[in-house]
Amino acid sequence: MSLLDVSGLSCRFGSQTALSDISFKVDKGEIVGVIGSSGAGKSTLLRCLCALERPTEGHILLDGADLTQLSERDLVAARRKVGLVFQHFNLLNSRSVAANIALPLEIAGWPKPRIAERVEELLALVGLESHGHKRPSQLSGGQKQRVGIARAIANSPSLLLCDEATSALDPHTTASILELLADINRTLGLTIILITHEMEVVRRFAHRVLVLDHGALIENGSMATLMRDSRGDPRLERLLADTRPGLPETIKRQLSAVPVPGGLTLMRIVLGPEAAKTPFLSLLTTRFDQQITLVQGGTLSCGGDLLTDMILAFSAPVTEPLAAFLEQQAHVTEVLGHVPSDR
Amino acid sequence: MYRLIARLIAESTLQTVEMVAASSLVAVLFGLPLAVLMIATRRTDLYDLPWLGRPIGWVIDAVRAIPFIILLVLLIPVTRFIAGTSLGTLAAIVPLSIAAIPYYARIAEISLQEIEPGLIEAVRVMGGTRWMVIRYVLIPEALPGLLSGLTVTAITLVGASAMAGAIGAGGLGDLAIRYGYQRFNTTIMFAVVAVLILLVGVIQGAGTLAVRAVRR
Repeated sequence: MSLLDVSGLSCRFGSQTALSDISFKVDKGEIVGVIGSSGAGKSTLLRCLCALERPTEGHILLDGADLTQLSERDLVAARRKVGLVFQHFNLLNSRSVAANIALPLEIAGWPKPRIAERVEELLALVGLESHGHKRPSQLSGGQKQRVGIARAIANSPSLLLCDEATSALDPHTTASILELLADINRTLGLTIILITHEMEVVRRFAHRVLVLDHGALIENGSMATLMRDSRGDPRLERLLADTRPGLPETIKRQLSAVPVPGGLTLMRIVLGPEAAKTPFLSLLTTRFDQQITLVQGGTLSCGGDLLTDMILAFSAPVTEPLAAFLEQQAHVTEVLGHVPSDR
Repeated sequence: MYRLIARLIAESTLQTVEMVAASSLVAVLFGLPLAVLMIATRRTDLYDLPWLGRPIGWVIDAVRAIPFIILLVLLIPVTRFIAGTSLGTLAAIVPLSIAAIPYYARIAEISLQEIEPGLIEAVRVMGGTRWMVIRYVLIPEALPGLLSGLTVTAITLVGASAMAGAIGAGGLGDLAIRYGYQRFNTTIMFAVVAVLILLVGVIQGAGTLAVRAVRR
């Protein structure tokens, strides 16, 4: 049985529809990314998942309990099974770092000695051993988020929700926070749902991705599948634009749809994990007598898989056998256009 | 002569301190819960019962609208009922407190209002009850503001307690009016003013220190 089973979830505020008929499942130990531009319904979905918002319709089964059917009193208990990491940390400045991490345990009524023990353990887990006595205001953004994560997992929740957890951080810190989350996922087997507008974060980190658009779920699959093929859906194209290789402006301006005599042919090629470690380019050069330039792109890690997404410039027109070979080897082959050569 | 003045001033200072301290204490004891009640009933992420908190606000505004000197007179029957008399330092504490409660309640409300909604959300998500939100978030996070609000209230009460001299409350204000104004004794007048300045300075200094201590 899935850890989380959302079915037919709809949420309306007056005449405004925030979510319409959303269904998906999350298994134990999975890392799932929820992505969408602002106003897509991400926050509402998150608020429903941690039982802060009651949906208009549908069911949310977490560990077998339906969050939409519980009374306020039972919800208080159900919320303790969900940990939430916030974009702006939301740490209490009236408490020390250690006391912030202890808060959910105090709320759950743990005895004091056990709280102290657990807090030590958590401080070590997030790499803040010597910072327990400090105030949150004395920490850097990344350290604050580590405290936020320690606090969220203190009471051993079965689900960890991250709400734009890295959006307020610089790229370097983002990477270290994502590493910490991946670590927690591996060592504790904790299920993580990561809500973000940054495709890069999802690409590096999530096993599976849910795409929300105007309150509807328009994609639910592995990141590698989504990156390989957006089926020409402009909503997906827009989200994926940042993670894909793009042509430099000067080349884009010269692009023509018809072949240029003696010019170059530009193609976008996407290869799966098996091709990432083969000498693909030299294969093309030797077998098809082509001179090839890598214009943009390369091999990326993508939800644990390897994906090669690149734009190549071919010196000679693409012949029938070459096209057939590419068709067989690559997931996507797309002729972007032709440009004159400088030779 | 100077020993008499010194004794009079010492006595009056003590009475003023007594009045200010007692009514400040009452202001916090009643004003803070009222402020919490107003905030907690208004917020949709807490009790969401605006019709409960709003009338409290009306009563608070009504009391604050009455000039203190008139409140003093209006409250004489109440003062008699509570203190047994309407004269003296002890009796003056009643109208001072009743004026201070709504004053402090509004100031405390401002500090409580400044709390980030995200902090409340964080505790709610942890499975905290609404009462825990008040206990772990609202009060401790607003504490610096609540303390500086108390400082402002206490200093306002120093001024108000002088007016209470009008009903024979004693204290520094009373002394300044009786000896300084009615008997043209400027020495006492200036001495009282100096003590008042000192007193306000001490209260403000203590308040600032307390705020710094909790803010860290």
